[in-house]
Amino acid sequence: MISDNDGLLLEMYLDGALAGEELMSFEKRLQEETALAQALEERSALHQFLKDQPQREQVENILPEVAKAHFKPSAKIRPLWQRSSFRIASIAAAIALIVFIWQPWQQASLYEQFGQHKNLALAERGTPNLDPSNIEKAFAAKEYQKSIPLLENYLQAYPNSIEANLYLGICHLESNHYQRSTAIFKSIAEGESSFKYAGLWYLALTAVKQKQAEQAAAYLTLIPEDSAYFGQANALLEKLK
Amino acid sequence: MNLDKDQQYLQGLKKGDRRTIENLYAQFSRQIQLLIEKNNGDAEDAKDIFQEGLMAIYDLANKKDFQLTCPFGALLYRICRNKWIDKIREKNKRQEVRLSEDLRSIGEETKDVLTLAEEAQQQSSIQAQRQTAFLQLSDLCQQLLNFVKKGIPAKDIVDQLELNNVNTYYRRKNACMGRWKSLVVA
Repeated sequence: MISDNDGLLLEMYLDGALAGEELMSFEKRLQEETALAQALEERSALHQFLKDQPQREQVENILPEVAKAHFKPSAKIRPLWQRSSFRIASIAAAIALIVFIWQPWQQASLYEQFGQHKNLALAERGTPNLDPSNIEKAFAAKEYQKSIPLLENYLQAYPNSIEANLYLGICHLESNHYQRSTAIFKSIAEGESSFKYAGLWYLALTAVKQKQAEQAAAYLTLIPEDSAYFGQANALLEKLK
Repeated sequence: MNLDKDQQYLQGLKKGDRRTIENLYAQFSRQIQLLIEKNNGDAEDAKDIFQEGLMAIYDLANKKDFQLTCPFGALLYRICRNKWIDKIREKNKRQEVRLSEDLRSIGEETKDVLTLAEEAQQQSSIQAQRQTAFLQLSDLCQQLLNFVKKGIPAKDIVDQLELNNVNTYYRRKNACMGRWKSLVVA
């Protein structure tokens, strides 16, 4: 464990902000003090992690785009001729019964049914230095990967825009970055803004997309009657039963 | 082992070169899909596992002094296989996991493949730990470190965050980095 002052010096050193006498004396201490050298190593690793993130995110965003052309569901070839007609009939009947009772296709397509996003309208709020129409166009065209860096840029200029943050979460959800979308929606749902229930609704959709029906239902039940999301939350709850 | 080709795959993936990534999908995705589908998974599962596998190699390749000492395809296959085993074990915690021959046998994989796949697994988990810990930081810390991530110079961050001076910035950054480190370790 290093002192606050040494932590401060470490940060300055890693940033190249130390010079002259101060730099020389700090480098000398690094050679002599094991704890300080170890702290430098740990901090450097985290700095490197941060530095690598933009490139990593870029690669991570390309993959789902390329993946679209691959991974089509395979047609399963079953050796029917090896089975008696009775066995085939009973298997078919059992499958039909299971499908009739559980309606599993509803689980699979629930997200598509309910995951309809309203158009993003940042421009209406009037933004002096940024033209958000590109973000809105990209989002409307369902170019979620493309929208992520655009929204991040926008948020850099307007860090308090909960709407932009919500839509960034939606783009992550559409790109299957569940950890990131969940973190964003949680922060919105735990806040007190007018987007609070949108946050809950999207937390539920994140769970639906991952086929976590119980988790989704838990979020949906927190949406109150006077919220704009109440009707659709109820409809989704019905389907999840 | 076609060293040139494997190195091209690795460098292309590191750079995020779209053509290389398309080649990787064309070359290896079918094999992974078959493996997953034979073992209680579907095309969607295969898509996720393949993506995780590529990102695991990406993280491994960015480790200092990393050297690819086995065929790219064999490494990717082994990593995806390990990840899928973990996923099905997670799904069937209380049930015995029945694996097809493909998942059980080590086959002709060399020691290098096994070692590197193991290393990739560790690297992925370090990466995930750091990411999760980062998301647990306060909004202010995340905002400050996001500026650092984008390579914005200290004096510009001071302006953007309306801090008193550069010294305040380093003090705050030190507090955020310290907190982040403690969350990673916890």
